[in-house]
Amino acid sequence: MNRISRHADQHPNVQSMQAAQAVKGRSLWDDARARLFANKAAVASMIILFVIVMAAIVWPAISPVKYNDINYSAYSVPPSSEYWMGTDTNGRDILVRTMMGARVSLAVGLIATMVSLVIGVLWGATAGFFGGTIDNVMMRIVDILYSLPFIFFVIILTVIFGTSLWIMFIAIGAIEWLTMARIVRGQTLSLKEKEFVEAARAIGVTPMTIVRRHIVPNLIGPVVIYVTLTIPYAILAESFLSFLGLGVQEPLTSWGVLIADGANGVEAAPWALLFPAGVMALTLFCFNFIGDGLRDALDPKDR
Amino acid sequence: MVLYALKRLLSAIPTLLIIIAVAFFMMRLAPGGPFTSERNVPPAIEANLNAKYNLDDPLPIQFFKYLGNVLQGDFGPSFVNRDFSVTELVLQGLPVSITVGLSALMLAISVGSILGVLAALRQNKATDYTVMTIAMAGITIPNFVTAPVMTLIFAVWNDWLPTSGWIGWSGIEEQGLDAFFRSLILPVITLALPQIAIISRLMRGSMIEVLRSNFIRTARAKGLSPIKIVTRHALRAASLPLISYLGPATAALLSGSLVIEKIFTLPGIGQYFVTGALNRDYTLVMGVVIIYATLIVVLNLLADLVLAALDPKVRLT
Repeated sequence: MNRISRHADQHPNVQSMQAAQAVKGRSLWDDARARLFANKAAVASMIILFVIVMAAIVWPAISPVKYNDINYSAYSVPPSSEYWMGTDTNGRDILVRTMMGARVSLAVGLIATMVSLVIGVLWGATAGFFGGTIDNVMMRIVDILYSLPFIFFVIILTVIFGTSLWIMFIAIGAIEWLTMARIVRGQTLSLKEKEFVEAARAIGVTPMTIVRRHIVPNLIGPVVIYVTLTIPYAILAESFLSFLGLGVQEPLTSWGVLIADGANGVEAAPWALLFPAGVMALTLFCFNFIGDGLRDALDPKDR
Repeated sequence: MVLYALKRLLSAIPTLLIIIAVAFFMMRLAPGGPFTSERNVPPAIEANLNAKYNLDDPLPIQFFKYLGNVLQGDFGPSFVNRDFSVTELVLQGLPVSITVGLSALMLAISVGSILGVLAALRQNKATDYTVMTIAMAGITIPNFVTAPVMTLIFAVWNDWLPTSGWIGWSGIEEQGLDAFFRSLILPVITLALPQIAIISRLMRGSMIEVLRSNFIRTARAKGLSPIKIVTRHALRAASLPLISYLGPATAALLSGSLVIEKIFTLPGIGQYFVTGALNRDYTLVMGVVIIYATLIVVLNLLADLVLAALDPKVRLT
């Protein structure tokens, strides 16, 4: 300390140089952000996704027709200036229905992913941190669950409790947490051997606090990547169930319901299939590109 | 090897038991009995029904009775289709599902590995990028989108293939082999598409890794032709990850078959399962889940055993 200050005294510029360097110094996150924004596919995906999300929020509210309004004189109308995406075989506007479906599908995707995030991070971090028998038992459970055809258990759940949005949130979240738990466990295993965790343990920090203050913050990178990649799976699971008639029920709609409707009336109104399917596929692509971009940006191995 | 096989077999049995138990207790602890959705049944008749379906016994007894029956291949009577037992319904659907599922699996493995190997051999060239872009699309777009869109293109706009329907093995004589295959094309391809995509990615990755390894360098150094290197040496080593993917692939094909059988109105197990779920046909749904789970567990087991036979490293861990 003394030497540094003496050093600084001798060279008055050093301090200001250090300050300048501190400003210029790039944190992990600055670095990651820069690389993410250099990824054209990821940036384009973020813009498209933003447009879809905004349209899903705003359009059903301001649209002159509502998503379940039926126009008895406009069955299966092709896309036109009045109906931009046409109408379905029941005379309902596809555009506003697609946006309403986007609301439901995105909401289910997000909430189910959050459910899986909470379960997966807690499970994985606990297993990885405590290790030994606890780890063995917990990960064995994950292994067994992994081999189960979980979507079928979701179907059993809907048979038992009937179909409701809440069941979908919980059931889909409950099937998507396994991979999250594995990723988090692996990271935790390597993190807990790091010196800063040892230091924390040496000064007597309790295990739960170490997990909360030191392990979990360092998990954010891989978790963020995996969350972005889980959302499309959750959306797919919701649409899959809704397509089969086991998910979202009429009059409420979702992409799965719309695609099922569109597939039924495909000969009379192909646009009723193609537009919702196209918007959904576009959304899924966007999430995948953003996830890949995040992985490239946050993965330290790439640097 | 025998020890390893026994160990794997012993770990597969509890998995199956857990599946059956979970399915059973989830169903039985459900709010509202299986008959609540029906018209008002007089109490006497309800008691009769309960007695017939063993609903009066305590739960654990019910479970062991059910387990015993399942082991004998008896999944009980269907709750909704009163004239049929679950076993009969499943046996009706099985040939359809197996025909479509196996064809899709074989298509996925063959086309997927060829595409993956091609992409690996032309890494970072146009072929590679094309295959990987298609693979990404195949993984992202679910088959409940591809199936109706392909029906639209190939069956509605162009009258090349039938939109739906099942000819089946028994229908070959009546309608001819040609019609049989034509009715299979769309379901099999749409069911296989996501798996083709996943397998080609998998194959590309492992092939690239294998091509970098020392024994391939040796083969190249002693002057083998590139084709021989791939077919004789690299392919075998590169297909190992493919084998362990067999279990997950089966699971994916089964859930995909629910969609495909619905869209193309194929009378397979998947159809029964979905209508069973919609009608709250408890025994049917449970029976099908148990069959699906068994299939997946058995295929995982088989994949592990094959892998252990091919790769000594697996046995030792």
